[in-house]
Amino acid sequence: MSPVYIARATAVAARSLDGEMMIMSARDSTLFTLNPVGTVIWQSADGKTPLSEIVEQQICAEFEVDSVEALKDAENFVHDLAGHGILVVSGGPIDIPNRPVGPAKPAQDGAR
Amino acid sequence: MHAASAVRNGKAYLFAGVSGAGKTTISRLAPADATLLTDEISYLRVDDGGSRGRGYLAYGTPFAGELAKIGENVQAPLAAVYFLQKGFENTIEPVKSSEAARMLLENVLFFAHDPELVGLVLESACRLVSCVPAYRLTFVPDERVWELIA
Repeated sequence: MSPVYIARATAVAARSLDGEMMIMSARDSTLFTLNPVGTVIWQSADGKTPLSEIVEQQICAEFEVDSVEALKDAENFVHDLAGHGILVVSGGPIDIPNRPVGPAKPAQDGAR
Repeated sequence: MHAASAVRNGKAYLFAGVSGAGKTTISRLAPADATLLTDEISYLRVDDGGSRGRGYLAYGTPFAGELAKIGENVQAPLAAVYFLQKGFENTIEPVKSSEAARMLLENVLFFAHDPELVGLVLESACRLVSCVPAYRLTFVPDERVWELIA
């Protein structure tokens, strides 16, 4: 299986609250709440650690799950987040810029 | 915040909800000894000072909703946040922090797309729900609901 690398998108804000990660997209103010497993993956998304290693060392060590099954679920999960534009998924290591840059988009309904 | 707020016995209470959730209704039902801050747009500031400890102050605002009555120019420490919904009985249930932050953010009047500002808004919501208790308040529109509130 080819390696998968993940990095948090730059135009998002994230805060942990009671063990759940809350992620807000700057693009459209959509709010995502991750469960504890999702939170671990999010926090480990440094662009350098392959997803398989995150799953093996962080998920399987902490939660009682089968590693093959867990990796499959994790891959679906990261692609799902990538689809929402809050995570970057790549076949190779990802460089993370220091300064977040937001895409310009006209203001819309907004009251969220 | 898109919320009504009122002061009773020296403490402020915030009532958040979309249009139709009951902001004006709950304001209209407030007992005579309650002071209305607004039935539409609430204003909160961080209160780091003094013996009260860290918390928030709610202020009266000149922004009125259907009630068409300008809020009193007073302030009081925020004691609770209620997320309103109309129902068939009066109930109050605690809301966990992440859920409260989500509902709060839905009622924050915020229109920017700058990641830094979005971060500050998220931070503010998380901070508020970690120091002020939040509840889901289901109510039938009569004055008895205020016995549960304050």
